[in-house]
Amino acid sequence: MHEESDLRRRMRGLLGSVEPPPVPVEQIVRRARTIRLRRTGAAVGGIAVAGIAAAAVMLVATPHPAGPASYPAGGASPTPAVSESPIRSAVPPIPIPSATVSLNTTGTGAGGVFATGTANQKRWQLTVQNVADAGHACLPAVTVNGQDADPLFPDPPMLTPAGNPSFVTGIDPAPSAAFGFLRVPAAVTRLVVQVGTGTPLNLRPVMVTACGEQFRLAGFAVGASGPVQITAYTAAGAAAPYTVPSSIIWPARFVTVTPVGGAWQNLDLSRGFGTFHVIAHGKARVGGYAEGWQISAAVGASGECYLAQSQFLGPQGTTTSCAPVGTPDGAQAIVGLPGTSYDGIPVSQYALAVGPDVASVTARLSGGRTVRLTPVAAGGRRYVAFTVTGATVTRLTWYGAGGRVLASVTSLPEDGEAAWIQFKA
Amino acid sequence: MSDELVSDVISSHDGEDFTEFAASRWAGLVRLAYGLTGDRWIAEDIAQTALARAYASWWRVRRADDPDAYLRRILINTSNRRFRRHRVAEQPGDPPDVAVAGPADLVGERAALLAALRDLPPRQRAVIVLRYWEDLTDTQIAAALGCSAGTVRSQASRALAKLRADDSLKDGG
Repeated sequence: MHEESDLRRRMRGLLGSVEPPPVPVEQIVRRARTIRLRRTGAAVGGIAVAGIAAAAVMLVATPHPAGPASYPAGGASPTPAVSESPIRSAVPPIPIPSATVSLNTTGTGAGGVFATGTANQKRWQLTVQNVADAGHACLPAVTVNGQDADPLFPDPPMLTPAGNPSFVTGIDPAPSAAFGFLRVPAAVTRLVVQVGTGTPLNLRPVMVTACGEQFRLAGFAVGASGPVQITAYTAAGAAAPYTVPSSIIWPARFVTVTPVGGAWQNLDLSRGFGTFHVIAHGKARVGGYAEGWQISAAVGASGECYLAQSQFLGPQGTTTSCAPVGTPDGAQAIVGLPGTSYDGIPVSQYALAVGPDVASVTARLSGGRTVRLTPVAAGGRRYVAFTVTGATVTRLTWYGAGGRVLASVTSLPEDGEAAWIQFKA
Repeated sequence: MSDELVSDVISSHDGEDFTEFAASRWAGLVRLAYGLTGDRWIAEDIAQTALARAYASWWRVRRADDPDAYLRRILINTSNRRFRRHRVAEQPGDPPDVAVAGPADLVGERAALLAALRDLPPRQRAVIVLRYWEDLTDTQIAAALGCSAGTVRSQASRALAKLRADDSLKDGG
């Protein structure tokens, strides 16, 4: 390349050859609805500052079922002298299917393990384990290498002859692979999985016992794009092949509002959101208005989902955000719920699941104030959730028993935009 | 006023306007984003996000002196934010996922340019794409990137030096 005119010509050749699909207006509009008007807050910054002063910057976090409570300005303000703990994954990357995967064995079910193999030379293992917090009702779920759980519910409706497929991508040990499993009908004795033109995989369903229940499962990994076709065999012979929707295997191709890495995609959504339990509620005062808010959590086929209800959120008043289900010993998600602004003052809401070792979490706000939050148990899991008005959260710190600092993080989800990050305390 | 409420107001009054606007800018945004990221999927995602952000503040976009410049700035910011959020977790070096038709040497030329662009630091890449694809002046590029025209010139100079030194770009020109 010698001349700038040559570069211009090459650039036209490269970018001019791109033929985008039709403009997805509906998706764009849906997406726009989750985006807070950040500029509204920025544009009235001066007013907001005055408003903040008048409204007394407020962070409200109320454990349920205790009554609403504001945390005093002079509350505990620990300054953890710890470095950033590693975030397992910021917003997980959109995976491109290009992994070398193998299936070593379909497993025996011992220890909950029902499939193992390698992906890009790294070992993967699908296991059924209890993801409930200690002392709570057992909550069986499938995990990949002990991370990113997909809850299993009893007696699901079988939606295809091969059962119900579930897939997850964008995770360790190979973000560019998809890991999948089927809940297999009782009559099916064998499955043949065909990925594109690759070698067919022969799978035998494995019976796994967890939380006192039995689950018939078959797991595998997919490393290349191409249709995934599954044929189920029963004593009566082969059923018609079933083609798994690509949107379940490679959801990032079907652009979504929130990142999909680590979030299981289930064909069976009959238990989509699960049962919501209130984990925090209160009233937040902004510019002379006191508005009620409430955050609920549920674990279901859509992941760990949070339902935010607030008069700040407009006429409909609710939003739902889901993130991967963490495991007690693995990464947990910090979810930034879709925020908004009220009279130009930003209103942000956060929810996070916490592990069994966490005694409290502190949120440091812009301006230097710190508020301590105590985890609340709901549906077998432990959570912290809160609403911030007129300020941003600059740091979260996890504390264990005796005030020991477990971890601290400043890389929080995008303020005001439905997003999550995964964090391991 | 919540964004939900704003969106509802927008959708009732300006939905057709926005649909027309989005349709006419979509291809250009995807191509620009592809130049900035080198990844077709991410390019479409960024273009969607940019249009969604434009829609969320549609009244502001419509009132802008140059809506295209406004939209371009949103797209570049979206791309930069994505880079910042991904640079630790991003997986290295996936092969370019772009379907191109034409003679083999033309395909090779495009692949070489794509690879060379991906080797540039993000700001240098942005300067090159905005200058040689969007045909923007240095002043316009400076406005889009939020820097001075002098910075644009120095970034362009460094980027061009790297591209000139790239062996894969030396033939076929």
